[in-house]
Amino acid sequence: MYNGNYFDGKTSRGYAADIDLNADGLHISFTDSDLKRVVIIWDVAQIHKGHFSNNQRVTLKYGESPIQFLELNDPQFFSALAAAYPHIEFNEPSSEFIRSNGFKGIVAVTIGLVVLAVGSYFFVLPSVAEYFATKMSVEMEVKLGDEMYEDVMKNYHIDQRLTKEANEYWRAMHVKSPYLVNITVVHESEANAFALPGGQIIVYDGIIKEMTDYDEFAGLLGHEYSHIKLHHSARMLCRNLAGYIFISILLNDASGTLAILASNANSLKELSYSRQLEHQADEGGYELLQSKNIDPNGMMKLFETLKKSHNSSVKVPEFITTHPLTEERIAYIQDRLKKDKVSYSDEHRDLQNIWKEMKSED
Amino acid sequence: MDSTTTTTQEPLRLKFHAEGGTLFGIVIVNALLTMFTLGLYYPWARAKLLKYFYSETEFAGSRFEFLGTGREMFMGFIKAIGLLILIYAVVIGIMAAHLYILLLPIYLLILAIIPFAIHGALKYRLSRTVWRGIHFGYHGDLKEFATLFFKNVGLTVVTLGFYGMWMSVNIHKYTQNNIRLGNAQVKFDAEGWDLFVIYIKGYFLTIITLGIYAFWWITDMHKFYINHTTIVQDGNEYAVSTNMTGGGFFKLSIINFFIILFTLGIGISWVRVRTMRFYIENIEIAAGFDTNALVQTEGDYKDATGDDLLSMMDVPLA
Repeated sequence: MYNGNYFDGKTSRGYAADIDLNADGLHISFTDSDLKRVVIIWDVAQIHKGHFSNNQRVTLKYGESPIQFLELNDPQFFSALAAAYPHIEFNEPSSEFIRSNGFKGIVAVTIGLVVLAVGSYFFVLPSVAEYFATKMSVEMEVKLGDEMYEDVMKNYHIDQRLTKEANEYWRAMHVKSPYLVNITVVHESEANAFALPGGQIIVYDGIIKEMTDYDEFAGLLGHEYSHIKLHHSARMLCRNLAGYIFISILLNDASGTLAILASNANSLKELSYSRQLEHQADEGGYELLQSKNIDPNGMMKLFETLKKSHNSSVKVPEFITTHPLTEERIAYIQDRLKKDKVSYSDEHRDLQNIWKEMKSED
Repeated sequence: MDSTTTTTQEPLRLKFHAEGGTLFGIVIVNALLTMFTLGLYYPWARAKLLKYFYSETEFAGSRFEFLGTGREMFMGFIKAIGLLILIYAVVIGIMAAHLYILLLPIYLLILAIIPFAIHGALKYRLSRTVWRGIHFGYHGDLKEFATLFFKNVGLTVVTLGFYGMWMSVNIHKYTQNNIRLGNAQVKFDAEGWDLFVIYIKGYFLTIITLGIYAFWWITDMHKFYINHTTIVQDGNEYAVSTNMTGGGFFKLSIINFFIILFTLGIGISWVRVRTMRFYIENIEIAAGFDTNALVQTEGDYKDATGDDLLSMMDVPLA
């Protein structure tokens, strides 16, 4: 026999009750408000465990509304209950792993979770994101890029003359491409340039001022165009978006996910490519120049220029930090040049002329 | 030995037994399951959390119990998410078509959802709250509440926000006055002016003290809501009050801050439990309230749409 408090579901008055575990169910006997001795029998099939009953304390619920309650503070009761009615719902072992494993459980689960989260963030997520990126059509990329372009341009002033000439320059390079490349030169002192998905390239006039030779500009465009051609923006976009969704799901924040999906278009312009993608773009740029018979030394000169501007008083371009170290990039191009051992016609009068014009009214 | 008889002259207190470690376990498992089910587990996760918090809150020797289930909340979740997706689709459509002028009616529509969500949430949440077998309940009238809500929002907009204090007091008053604990009822009696004075005082003192006073300000606001509440039982009013102090809140916040900092955020569950304990255990109900005399009066209400909507829209339920 055990002692507990019985609530009949009609009032909040508790009755001190004696509880017996009999074969036909729980026998609850108490003295009611009319001082009569009452015995209530709970059919075992209708008993539910109150939530978070633990070994010290057991709360049992019975029936549908009004639900009757039974509270017991007897450490022995739980195991007795389990032994008396082994096959019923409330007797199932607590699924609360951590409750039964204490502090060690917490540590184990935390470490496991962190490993899992980090693992899927760095290994599973990128490949899933890449998969979606490759499924993206050119039209979609263009549409996305145009929308981002509109947004990005709010922060810049376009240099109409340089923009016109830079586009002429690109056309004179005669690159065949599924993307319609559009270059925009903007007033910005930093030595920087970036590409948006679908064909938009934005060049700061700061970098044009720093460059001296026409083939450097070819190198720059080759690099940025490679980002576009290799869908780097789309890949990073998918990756970033997937990252946001992943983190907000992890933090159990559904409203956050919804909000991010709606408002992300703006913040995603601050993409930064990984060093690996930058390396691929360098490689692509080099090969583009080579195929157009433009001296790939231009790439190297471009890096030297960047290095110089990095050292000089000019503001450090933000993309330097995510780009591979300039020395490494120079070394890579030097390597390629040595290996390829090809000589290049230095003609390209058309490109040289456009470049001269671009530099002329500085 | 009737251990539940409590006719002492001491005020009645609540006790909160939750532990950070247990909460952490629940949160982690919830997060994992929500992640693996791509968010579909969310309603069950919420039900589990609510069940835990309720069952660890004790009043006069008995725990509260949240009877809501993941299944009920899932039905609400589906309806709520359908509604939100519909709204998002319309907003995106409008943006794509550059018909920005149409955004205004959409915002009004979103605003219009709030009173329905609050009403539904209170009805559901309170109906699923049980103490010693006695169901709580919400008796507010949706039409009446929506009218009150829009009238107050309108006045707040017209007065450029000044009426905001009166709005929160009026809304709080309406919802609180319709809460039933079986045959007892909650009563909230205060005016917007009272809150306005606290607000102005807090605002300026916070500026003068470079933000330090904010802890006392928040405390005053919280006390305003609690200390103007009473419970009416058999015609007698029993005052509800809180012993919360600005100093106590300051200490709590500082320690919470360091817990988060030194555990790199993992300690958030402990912080949550500490904070809830602070709020809950400071509450007192005046002596004389008869914990044995509550009579069952409420029926069942199982539609969780409002509750899910509120949680997704990040509107806290008072």
